Amino acid sequence: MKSIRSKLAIATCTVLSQGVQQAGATESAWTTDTSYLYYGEADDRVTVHKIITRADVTLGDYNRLSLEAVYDTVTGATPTGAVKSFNTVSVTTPSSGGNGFKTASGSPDLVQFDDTRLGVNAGWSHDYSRTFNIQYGASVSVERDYEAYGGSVTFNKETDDRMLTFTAGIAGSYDTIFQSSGGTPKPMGNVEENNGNPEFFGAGNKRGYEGMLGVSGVINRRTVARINYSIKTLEGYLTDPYKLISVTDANGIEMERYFESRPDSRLRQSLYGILVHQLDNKDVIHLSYRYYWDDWDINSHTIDYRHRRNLMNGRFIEPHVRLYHQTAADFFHHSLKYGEPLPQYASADYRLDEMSSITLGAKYGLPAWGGTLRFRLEYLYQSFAEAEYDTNKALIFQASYKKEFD
Amino acid sequence: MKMLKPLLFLTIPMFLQACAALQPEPVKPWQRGILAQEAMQLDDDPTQSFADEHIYFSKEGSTGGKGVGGGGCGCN
Repeated sequence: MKSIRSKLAIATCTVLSQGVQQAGATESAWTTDTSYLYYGEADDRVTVHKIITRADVTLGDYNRLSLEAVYDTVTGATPTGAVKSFNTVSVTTPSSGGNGFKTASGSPDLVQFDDTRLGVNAGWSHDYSRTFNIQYGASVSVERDYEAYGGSVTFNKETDDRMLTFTAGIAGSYDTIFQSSGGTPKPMGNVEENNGNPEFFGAGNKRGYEGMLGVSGVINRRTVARINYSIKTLEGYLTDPYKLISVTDANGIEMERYFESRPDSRLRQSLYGILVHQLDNKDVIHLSYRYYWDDWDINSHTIDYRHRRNLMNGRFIEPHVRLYHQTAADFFHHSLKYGEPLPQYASADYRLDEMSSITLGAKYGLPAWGGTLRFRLEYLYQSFAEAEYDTNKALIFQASYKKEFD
Repeated sequence: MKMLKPLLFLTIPMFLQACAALQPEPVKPWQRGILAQEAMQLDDDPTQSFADEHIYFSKEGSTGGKGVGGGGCGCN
């Protein structure tokens, strides 16, 4: 009997001491993830080089900090919205970025641009109890012609058995928009008025207010799922100061060219669901769907599927497919008809057109230098219903390295 | 949309897999070994998610859904 008591005492001490050691191990733990991303569009359109660095720090048992910095360089040519006609009017196309937008030689419908962006996102997550957590976030993004500031608070409440987590989030943002040469053009202003010196206003401001309700749940030992409803209202200057729209005659020849104009408010809503499941062969699938709608009459469906197969020695491969379709904004036009009154709102921005899109690719991961190295290669193909440039093809490559430190 | 219709048929096996996964059962704390794996997290690669959000925000008319907050940009 004494022997059993002695063994139980030793076992109890062992368990307790392990608990202390584990608690001590969570005092401070770091995870860093650094990534390079290349995004290159066909036909010498937009090229982006992006560096992302992210650090997550666990401080004790109740606090986690995250810091994410991103630096982009963006160069190339992008459609203005004007038609490709050879008989275009002679205008000075608006410029953007460090070296400015410049009309590409022989292509008044495309503008060259060059810009850089620096963004920082910071987050603090605090456990107020075993089942209640609040996440605070702040973000800053600065370009030569755009500034964005934002803050968010997200509340997470778990049930006692931790099978369900209810989430509520709110966020606000304040953006400032202007051309690199200063100011914003008069919406629906003729680019040729005043002998090529159209009227400009000061910088535009955009305010955003966002809310989200969500629930995530453990379905079984190998499945988790989440559903979110999000709503966001935007107010202020929502026009793109660089986008144009042509007025054409019956033969499609451009007669005049105007700066675009968009409504000064937008209400965006979405339903998002994701399912993560480990199959019998230990492959893991991520399947998500989003339905989006807004009061500009854009509705969209997005399906995203990733299938991760674990290989030998900690390596994995993850094919990915993403399907997307959206309807056009109610003020989108390929061009306006000459002789008809100008509408209050009009845009030829291809991103507001009816669009179908597919992304295909794969990610490969392997252990390296005590961390994980990942490579991703994807191909994006977008097809537009009416826009002057009816397709956009892009290659995406990302290399990332993640490591944990105790 | 023509391009998407045949592709949508490809998603049928995905949904069948998803339906098979939706058989609820109570899960105790000591039965969560699989759920704790990194690959099983709802966002298992935040750096990739962040990059994708930026790409699609810049190239499509709709955005959001996963959460609140994050920086905007004037991307073309």
